[in-house]
Amino acid sequence: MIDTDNHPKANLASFRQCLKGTWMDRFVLLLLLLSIVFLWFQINQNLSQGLPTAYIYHGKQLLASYPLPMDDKVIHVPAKGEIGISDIEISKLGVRFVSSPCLTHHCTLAGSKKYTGSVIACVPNHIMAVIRGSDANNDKKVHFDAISE
Amino acid sequence: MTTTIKKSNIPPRPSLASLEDKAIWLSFLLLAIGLHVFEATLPSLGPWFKLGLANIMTLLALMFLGARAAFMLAIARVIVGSIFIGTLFTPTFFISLAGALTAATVLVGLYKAFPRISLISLSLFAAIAHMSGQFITVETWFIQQPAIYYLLPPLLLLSCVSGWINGAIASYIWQRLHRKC
Repeated sequence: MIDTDNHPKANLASFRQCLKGTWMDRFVLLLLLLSIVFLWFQINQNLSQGLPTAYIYHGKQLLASYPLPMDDKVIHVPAKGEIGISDIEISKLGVRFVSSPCLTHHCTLAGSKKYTGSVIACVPNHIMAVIRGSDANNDKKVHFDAISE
Repeated sequence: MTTTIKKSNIPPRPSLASLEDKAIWLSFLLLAIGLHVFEATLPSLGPWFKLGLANIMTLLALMFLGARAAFMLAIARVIVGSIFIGTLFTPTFFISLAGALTAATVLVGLYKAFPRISLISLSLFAAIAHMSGQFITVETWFIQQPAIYYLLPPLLLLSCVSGWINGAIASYIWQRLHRKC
């Protein structure tokens, strides 16, 4: 006699049913998604003020801040952290960790980041690089020829 | 020489039900550690993000054995799992422990407040709590910059997806095992 409950097709159908969830689950998901999207917009609004600039922190201390270069200029910032010095490169491609004394190297593997709100953090070394400001503000920048009273 | 043991000195024999519960808890713990280690071997899906498969076992422990067992399982899984991975007492360990503790607290709290809540909803809230707990720990102890929260919204979206899938898997296993019991 075949056990219909253990048939692979029955199992798959049962799992699909579980995957759909109840209407309450969907309502909870919708609520969470809306809250997250709202939070995201709020953060982006605060971040996109001013020109795109890379900020480098060690803990609460701001070590350096440089506007992202428009030309081929490359800036290297040696950021001294808890376990050593992280070498951070700022160029027109964005900001990236070139080297770091940490063991996991998640920070160096993250590559270059150039978009508003991008964050690269080296948790063991307590070093963080963040980009604030938006490219869109380049066009909005007001250029004064003269100021008269 | 013969030794005589007074009957009063013999500890009472644990009940069969209690032994069964311990055996189930241990098997859940072994599975959770296995999933924890397995996930560590998978290619990274991006910095700060993991699927959280081991949370399926915490959910099942909550349903089968209750709040205390689920809480203990979450802690034990992180400690033993990090011994196997080699991250014990590193920043990764503390971040992972904080996430697991926050998720377990939210799981237990919600389950006690709303006993009829589904496993998928529980898992969704636990996934969000896990991610938030990790970020709060990183911000408080390591990076100390609120700017780290800029990373939070996209990761919370991914947490919702993984939370839903984990909840569905836990729900499926719960239905299958519950029917058999």
